[in-house]
Amino acid sequence: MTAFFRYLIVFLVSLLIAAAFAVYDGYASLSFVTVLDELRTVYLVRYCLVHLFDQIPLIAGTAGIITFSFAVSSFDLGARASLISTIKPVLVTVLVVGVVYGVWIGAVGPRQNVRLEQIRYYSTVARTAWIDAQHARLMGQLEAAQRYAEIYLSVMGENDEVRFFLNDVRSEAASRETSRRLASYGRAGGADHGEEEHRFYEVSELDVASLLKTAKEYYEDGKYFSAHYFASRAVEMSNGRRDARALQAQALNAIEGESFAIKDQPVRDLYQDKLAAYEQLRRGDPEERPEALLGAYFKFQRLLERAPTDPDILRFSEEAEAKVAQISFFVEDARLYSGNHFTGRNDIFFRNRNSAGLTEYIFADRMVQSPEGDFFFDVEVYQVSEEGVLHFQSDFARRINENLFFRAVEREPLTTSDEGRIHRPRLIEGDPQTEIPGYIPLIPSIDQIVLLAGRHDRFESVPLTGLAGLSRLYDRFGRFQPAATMAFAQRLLQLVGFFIVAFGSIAIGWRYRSFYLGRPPFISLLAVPLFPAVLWWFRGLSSFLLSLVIYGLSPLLSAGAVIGVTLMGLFLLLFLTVMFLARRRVGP
Amino acid sequence: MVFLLNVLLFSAIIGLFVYLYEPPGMSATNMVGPIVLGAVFPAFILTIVRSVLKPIVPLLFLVLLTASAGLTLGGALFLDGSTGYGVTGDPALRRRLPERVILSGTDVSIRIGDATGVALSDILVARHNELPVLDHQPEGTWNAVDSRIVFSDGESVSTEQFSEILWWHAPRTLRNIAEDISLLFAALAAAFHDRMIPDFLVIWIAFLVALAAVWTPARLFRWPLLNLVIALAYLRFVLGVPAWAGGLIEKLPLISRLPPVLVAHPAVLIWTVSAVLLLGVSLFLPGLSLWQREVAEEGGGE
Repeated sequence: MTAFFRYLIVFLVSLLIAAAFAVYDGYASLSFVTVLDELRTVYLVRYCLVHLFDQIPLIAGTAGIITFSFAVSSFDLGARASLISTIKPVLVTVLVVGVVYGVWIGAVGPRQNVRLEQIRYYSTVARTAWIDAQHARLMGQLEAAQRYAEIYLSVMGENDEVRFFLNDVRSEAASRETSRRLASYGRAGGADHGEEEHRFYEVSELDVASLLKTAKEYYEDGKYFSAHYFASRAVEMSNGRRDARALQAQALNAIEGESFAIKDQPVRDLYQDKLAAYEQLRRGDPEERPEALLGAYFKFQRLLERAPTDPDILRFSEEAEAKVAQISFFVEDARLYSGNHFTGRNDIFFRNRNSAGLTEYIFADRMVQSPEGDFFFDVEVYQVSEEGVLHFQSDFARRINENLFFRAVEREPLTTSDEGRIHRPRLIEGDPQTEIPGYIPLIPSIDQIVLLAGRHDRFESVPLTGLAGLSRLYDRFGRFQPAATMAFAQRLLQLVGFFIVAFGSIAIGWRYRSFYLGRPPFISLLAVPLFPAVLWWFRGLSSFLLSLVIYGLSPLLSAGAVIGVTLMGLFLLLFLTVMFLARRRVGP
Repeated sequence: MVFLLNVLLFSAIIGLFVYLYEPPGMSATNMVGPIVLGAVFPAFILTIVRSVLKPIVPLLFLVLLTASAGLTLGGALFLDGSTGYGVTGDPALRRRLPERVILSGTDVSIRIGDATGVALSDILVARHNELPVLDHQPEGTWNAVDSRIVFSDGESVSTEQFSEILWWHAPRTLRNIAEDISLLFAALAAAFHDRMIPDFLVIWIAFLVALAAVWTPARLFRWPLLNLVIALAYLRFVLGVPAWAGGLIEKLPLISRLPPVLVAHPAVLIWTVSAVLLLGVSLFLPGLSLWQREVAEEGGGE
């Protein structure tokens, strides 16, 4: 049997043993994490692959040492020559395995780690959502039950049981809504004015001419609120175009005239409340007067309760909700995800803004990315500026565009006061007279926040290319830059270290090989498992020595220079190893 | 000569390591003795492993090698001039806690505005499991020996949890080796500097004999790599004896009949017994020239 086949056999046996350990480890890990049954196989396969690839340098090292120290003699290798010229197939195998391993730890492996995290995360979310959905239905909260079931399906894909549940809940909710509308129709005394063709929050997509045309159509149909709304937008967009202003005034007169024309007192009250809510909505501005928008939203919600079929109220409550969503978020949306934890998105702490007059730190207990948006929970902001310290806390926050919003609104219950339904951050330290902002600019992107979260083990999910830019990110957001440099260097050590271990083990194995020509004593065979243990110990030691070099050099050199020096050192070691191997000879 | 060069080489490597690592409270300058002691072990084994295949007179070689080790160690003890190895609480620390960056831990993260030696100021502490999480501490003190930061209000946090400075704490196996070297050197240095010459000679000679006994594992099998691993394991055992010998000796029923020097220095007994056992085993091994022929049968692979 040639040296190559012996090497291959030892390599494969080592691989099998490592795979057995990985499978055992994978099954054992299932006791500590939540993985749904349908994801269990995928999870186990990926988990085993990740852990098996982690041991590849150890496997190659063990195979090199045992084969060339114990399983191959000069007689097997034949003619007197240099060792490397007689074991070319082995060296090619090492190179191929090295390239596959490099691709794995550089790009594929981190993705698998992300996927493993996702599976654990999705399993927790789906299991919680399914339990919550069933509970909500039992409690008669059909809307919540629908949303939980939808979350389950969005995370896990199609599931017959959940789909059946969802359809069931939807039809139950629809029949309940029909009964409610029929009941309130009689109370409001109004008539259904038909479906509205325009969605008001899409008004910004129209030009002045289209706005005016739409306004005129509404006016002619006797829908004066809508006519006034579109005419007002046309006035704003055209900087006071005369015909737009005229139509606006006409519509307003018509609204007021209609108000006086109504004889029935309840209908008249409703009309006047609608007018007040409408004026507040018009006054509201996301930047200047966000409170007016919130007030209008609450007013329209109450009006909707009183007259759910009134087309003006339907239209403007939709408009108010869309505007409120620009300046805040709904507590109910955040609460849907408040119990979720996604590893690598916990304990988020970074420096957000850092200018001459203001330094700002943000701490968030956890972040959840969901179909509804990116939510942060238990958020604290610590600002130091020329005015002093401002430290506030919020149970929820949501990223909207490039901002982090703390102002949140409750959809329910309507019985609570308007002010009680608005959640604002709480002051912890600072001047009580200072107004706490409803939002602050959020400087890092969500992808960057993921890299700034948690502890050093989060780097396992970052590909090599991501690690390359990590130092700059760390520096920018107030984290300890050498830690990012170390993560990158560690990955490079894994890449180059594989070849050092694989070639070095062959050279050392051959240099100090066994000279038993017959059957070796039993104790020698027993000693074989010692070698992977020794290699494992050296792996830990080399990682520690690398950290000494990185952290020792970091105060003296830039991150790029530290990586350059590390790479040079690693390649020098590889060169010395190859030279040591090249000096080994077969025969006397 | 080869041994002395090896000692120099390993002293330089360990010295560089200590300089880079420099555990809080220690410095390369107060560790000359332990560094040399640490270098003696790998130098000794490397010399034996390289020489065992060469034509030598075993007894003469071993006596010369052991004498060189003894003299090197004696010189180191003489030069050291103190028993100061170990955690001294030296405030002149080269290592500093990083400033104006976030250090993240499991339960606590921290950002130190200014760190001048052990005096810290403008500290933002994030206690992850408390509300409010963030807490500003105007001042604090770094207790490097206990690895803690103590704030002006009396609260404290451990620095061992911060992932960014985890490298300050070497792997457990390395720390154990360093602690064992420390203990062994402290025992030798105490006897040497306190002029307890008989005690010193007993410890010194017993240690050197135990060291010399590595000869047996170095040629135990016809597999040099396995011999090397076993020899390293034996040396680790020799180094670790002072840490546990006391407990073992106390359990011996014959403790009252032992000479006082053995009771005072229990490692001596273990070293002597192991050395005698190993040297006894060597009597049953094939002769050196036969072993060399078998092992060198294929030319040693060179």
